[in-house]
Amino acid sequence: MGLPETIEALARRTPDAIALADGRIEVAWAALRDRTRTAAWALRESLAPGDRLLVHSANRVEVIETYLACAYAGIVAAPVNPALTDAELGDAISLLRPAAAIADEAGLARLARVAPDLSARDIGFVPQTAPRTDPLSATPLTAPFAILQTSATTGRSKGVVVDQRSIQLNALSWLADVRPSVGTRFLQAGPLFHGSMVIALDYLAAGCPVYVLERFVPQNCLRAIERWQIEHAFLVPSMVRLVLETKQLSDTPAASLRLLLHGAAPMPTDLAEAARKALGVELQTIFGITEGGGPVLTLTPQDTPGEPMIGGATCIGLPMTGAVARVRDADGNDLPAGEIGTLHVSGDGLMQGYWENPEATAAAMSGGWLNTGDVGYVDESGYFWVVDRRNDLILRGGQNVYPAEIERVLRDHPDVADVAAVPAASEVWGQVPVAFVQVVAGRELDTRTLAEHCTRLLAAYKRPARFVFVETVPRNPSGKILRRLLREQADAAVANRAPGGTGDTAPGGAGNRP
Amino acid sequence: MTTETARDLIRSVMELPELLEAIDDDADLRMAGIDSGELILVALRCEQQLGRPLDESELSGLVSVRSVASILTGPGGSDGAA
Repeated sequence: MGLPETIEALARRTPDAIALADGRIEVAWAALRDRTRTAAWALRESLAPGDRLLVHSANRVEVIETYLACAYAGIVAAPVNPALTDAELGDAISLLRPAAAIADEAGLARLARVAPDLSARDIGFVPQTAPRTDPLSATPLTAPFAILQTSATTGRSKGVVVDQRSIQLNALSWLADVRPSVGTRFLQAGPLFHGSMVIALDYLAAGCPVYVLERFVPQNCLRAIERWQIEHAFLVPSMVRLVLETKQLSDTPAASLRLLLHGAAPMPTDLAEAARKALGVELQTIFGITEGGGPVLTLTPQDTPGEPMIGGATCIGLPMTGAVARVRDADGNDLPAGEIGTLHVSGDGLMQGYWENPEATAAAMSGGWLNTGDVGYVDESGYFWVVDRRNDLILRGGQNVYPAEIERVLRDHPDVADVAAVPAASEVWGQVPVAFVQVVAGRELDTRTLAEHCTRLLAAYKRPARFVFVETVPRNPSGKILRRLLREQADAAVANRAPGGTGDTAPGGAGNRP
Repeated sequence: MTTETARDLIRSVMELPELLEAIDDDADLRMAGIDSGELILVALRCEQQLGRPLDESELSGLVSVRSVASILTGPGGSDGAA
């Protein structure tokens, strides 16, 4: 049973119950079926199965409806982050070569400027379209359903191709390991353009209404929980911290919320405890990876993993139903309990591969196993622990940033001789990027110039929080950047001028040029 | 409440306060490179100063240096009817 069949069944069983809502509209299951069928037929007028449809929109009900319409029509949804700069959006379009686009008002304006030849349609077109509610022929579960953008070690984004079989497996895993009841109200607080949108589909497949927050702001998140009597929500740790900090919490204390799912970055123990106390919720860890089709392992409130073997390790729980996990050495051998290696996962949820990139696919996947790149171990009880996240990956507020993206943009500046970007610890965002910059001999550079350069070419969340000017970027004899060394300096640079803290804005930091 | 005081508040949450120097009092902060996370922190700092949560219209109106200054002079602010 694929997504369309699931929606059809729910439309028959509970036609008038709410399926989807945002701040503007509520859509019942029968209406959802009819709206997505209408959208699917309309898309089919100009697109063939397998064509890519670029989706450029802020969160709203119609984004999920578009994904469902694509599943009906066999068209491949290709969402992009609306926060991308024009240059990044252009790169994504070059990579995906979409046959058409669907976008909100802001997205239409951008696409008209960035890709004027791309046929783009208003995402709210369905109410103005003659209804067509006859069913479409079924799309094979193994046909590509979506291409999700991911950062890349190469500095250029890659497209993760997932099929409906992956979505189906995830939905079953969610039922088994998160166990929402039919009708459980879920708040989609995160963006719908990346892998976490799978969680919204998981709830829909379970017959649960999904309430879409247009944009995460902690005050509005709490108001939404109260307004819609939300029972489950998925937040990244940074969001949780911000929710606990707003004065809105005393007015709307999220009394209906029972289960707070969290992921995308390690949850600090003190923050987890504060959330339990302030919100009166149970917490459940979700470990997901876009290439894995979304959630892969989970630590439920009932799990009792004990103490970490290594200080700072984070328990990510057990494989979700249908997934398998192993810790392996550099040669691909399974490691026994307690030994540190790289986390590999397998199962029907895995991506088909990277879009038109067999080399990258082969580097990440082998024999049905995905190398997550995360470093960790499995303990004697079978619980998996992460010691360090993917090589070089920067997890800023739940969003992935690869240093290579930042380095590529900075190297393009004519006064930059060499550069290395590494993560630094941030109390609010978990991690932030810090760039170590070697200036071309005889030239001058300052932070503002580089910040403005990055603002033009990088989405804001990828922009370094600090620029540290160095005589040379440290490298080993084979030319590889000594990132671990730089990470210690990066932590110091950020700590010396902590944003969002006590208001200390004095410039400084080891090696900083004024 | 002057816009300079609002600038101090915004500067305190920015990772790269150097960017604020190029932003006019009426410029759209987001268009000028302030990211959405920093705007959330600006809202939280406003709440701390006002001692109350911001309502939805205040949150959506938090777009420029001048609008931050305006919110800080509203109810609970330095010039408000506290």
